[in-house]
Amino acid sequence: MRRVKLPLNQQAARIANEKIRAPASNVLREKWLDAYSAAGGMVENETPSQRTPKSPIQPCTLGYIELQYLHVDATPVCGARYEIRSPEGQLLYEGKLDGSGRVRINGVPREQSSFLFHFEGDPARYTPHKKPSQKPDPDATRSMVEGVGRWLWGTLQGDFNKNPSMSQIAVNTLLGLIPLVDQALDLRDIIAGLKDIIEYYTEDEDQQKKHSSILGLSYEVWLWLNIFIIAMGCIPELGSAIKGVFKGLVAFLVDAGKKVDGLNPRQVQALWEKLVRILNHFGKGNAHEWLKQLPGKIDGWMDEAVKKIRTCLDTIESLLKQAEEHANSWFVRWIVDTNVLDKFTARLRRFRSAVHKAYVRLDSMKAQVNQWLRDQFSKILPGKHLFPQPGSTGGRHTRIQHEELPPDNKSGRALAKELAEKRAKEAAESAAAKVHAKYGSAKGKPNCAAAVVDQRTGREWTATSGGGRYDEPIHPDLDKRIKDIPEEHLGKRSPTNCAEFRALNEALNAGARAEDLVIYTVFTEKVPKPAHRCPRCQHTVVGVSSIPSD
Amino acid sequence: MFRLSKEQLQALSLHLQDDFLKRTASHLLANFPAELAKHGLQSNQLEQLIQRGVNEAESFGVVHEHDVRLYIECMVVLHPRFAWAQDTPWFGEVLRREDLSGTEKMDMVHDQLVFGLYEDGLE
Repeated sequence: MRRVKLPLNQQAARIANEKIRAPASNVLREKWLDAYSAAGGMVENETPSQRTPKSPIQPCTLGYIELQYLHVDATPVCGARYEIRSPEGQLLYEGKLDGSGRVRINGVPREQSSFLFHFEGDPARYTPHKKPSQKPDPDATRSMVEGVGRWLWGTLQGDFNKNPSMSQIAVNTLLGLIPLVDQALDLRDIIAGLKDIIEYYTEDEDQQKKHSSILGLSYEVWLWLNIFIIAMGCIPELGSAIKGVFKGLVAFLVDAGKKVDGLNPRQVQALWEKLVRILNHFGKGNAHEWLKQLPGKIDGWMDEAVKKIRTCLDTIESLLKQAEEHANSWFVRWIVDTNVLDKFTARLRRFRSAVHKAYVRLDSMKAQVNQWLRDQFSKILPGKHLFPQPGSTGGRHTRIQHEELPPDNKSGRALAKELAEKRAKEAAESAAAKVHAKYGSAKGKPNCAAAVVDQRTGREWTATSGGGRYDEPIHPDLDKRIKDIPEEHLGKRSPTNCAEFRALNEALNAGARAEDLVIYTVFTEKVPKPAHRCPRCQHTVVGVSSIPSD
Repeated sequence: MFRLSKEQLQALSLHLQDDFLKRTASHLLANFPAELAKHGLQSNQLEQLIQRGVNEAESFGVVHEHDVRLYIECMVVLHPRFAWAQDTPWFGEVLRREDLSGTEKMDMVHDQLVFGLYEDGLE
């Protein structure tokens, strides 16, 4: 209880007495003390020291530690092991959690006020959440076939855009040919991946050689890796977890721009944590154990994936074959020009040949993808760690597992573009930093720096704005666009003055294709900020992927 | 980890005991000069009075610093042997109760001093 500090302040006591007489209850007592204090009387602290004049140094009283471990859904992780260590790493307590995922340790010396703890060895086997079983869905089948049809038409429209009746015939033919297919949605995702590889196989050898390697894989194996990951996602029950983990791995490496053996220990640990969080999203139980056993299961999963991919290749092959037969029918020959039709069937034959090549390469690609995944996982395993957390005595520490959604279902080509965008940003920022280091804030310094990266070949070009006359030869496409700039957009400066124009001009002069290019432009400030295209560049720097978008 | 040896703890303990004596003495001199004069207590006798107060208080189970200080203040304000004085029997009765902790006893002593709550005897 609070007390008055003696001697009593008579005046303050008189004022307090006028307000509250003989405070018989604790509430009135407190009010009296408040009034006394407000009138200038001194009141003691409510929690005085527990020191005694005779033994001013008291032995410490004992404390306790209480820990709790929960799954993502807040159910207890029963029977998991716990370890409590001193901040220096000395083992203090260990044991198993009870049925409610808790442990309480009494009699902890007060001097042991802080500690580190972790949990491990959840005895529950990792089990994926059950999904409702899928029934064959006519809409899904239709959307899959439409997808294939749109793709084929997209690739063929260059030949047939002057003949709409032909395009309609081609698409309708494809739509009518496919029967109801179970797991059509799964197959649609695999087919989306196969489109990349089929287009790659339609390229000639020189074009194929120009593709840069990604994460230590040739472009071909890189595309197949993404197809296999999607196909493994179709494995019943475990598929989502498998695909989530592999997608998480690839996205992490693309983001870091290197293979697992190029990551530092902290990154490997972060990767392990990410994969555990993804697994927690799809299921419950010992995700660490499941990850450790993963390399031994890849073989079986790859076999399953090969079966799915073959089914999809069969589907595409069947569509192409029937489209060719239809194109050769008397009705089509009667209404469509023979030259156009011959071109169309020639293109279809090229596609069929690419599909055939995909069949031939499937086993070899399976072996290479399998090996790459095993290599990565053998290097991720040392990243397994115990998630130690700090704690202090006298309270409950609850650790709840975390979950994370896996990355989007992107194709190998989309991921390659992402990688190119990242490189373009880094290169532009690096060029801007060099300008800033050289000129500071001096008047007349180049205002912008741009970088162009070819997502197919990995080549990059950088340029800065201004700096006098631009004497490089202008690529014919850009030259034509300059002439087409409306007068009101021309302004005082030449279109060749801009950094993004110059970088793009160099790339095109070096033989790059505009559609493969990613361009990134920044201001040359101390902290480079992204720059949007100026009105002139909006006419000249077109047909490329420009970041930031306008 | 930082550790104190037994000898260091002993030295610290003696220092803190001495510190309490000095702090209480200067508090009494500063705030209760009239009461000290009434009992004919000189400043050189104060430490003896405080030491005796610490021992007496301990015999009633009053050990915490702020409780002991109030006990000594009562020795100055009421009587140096207030726990045995005939004219203030109530205090002695409270201090000898075995159902109360030292702090609870001194809370009652405080409220009696300040509010006169227990004038009609123990509740």
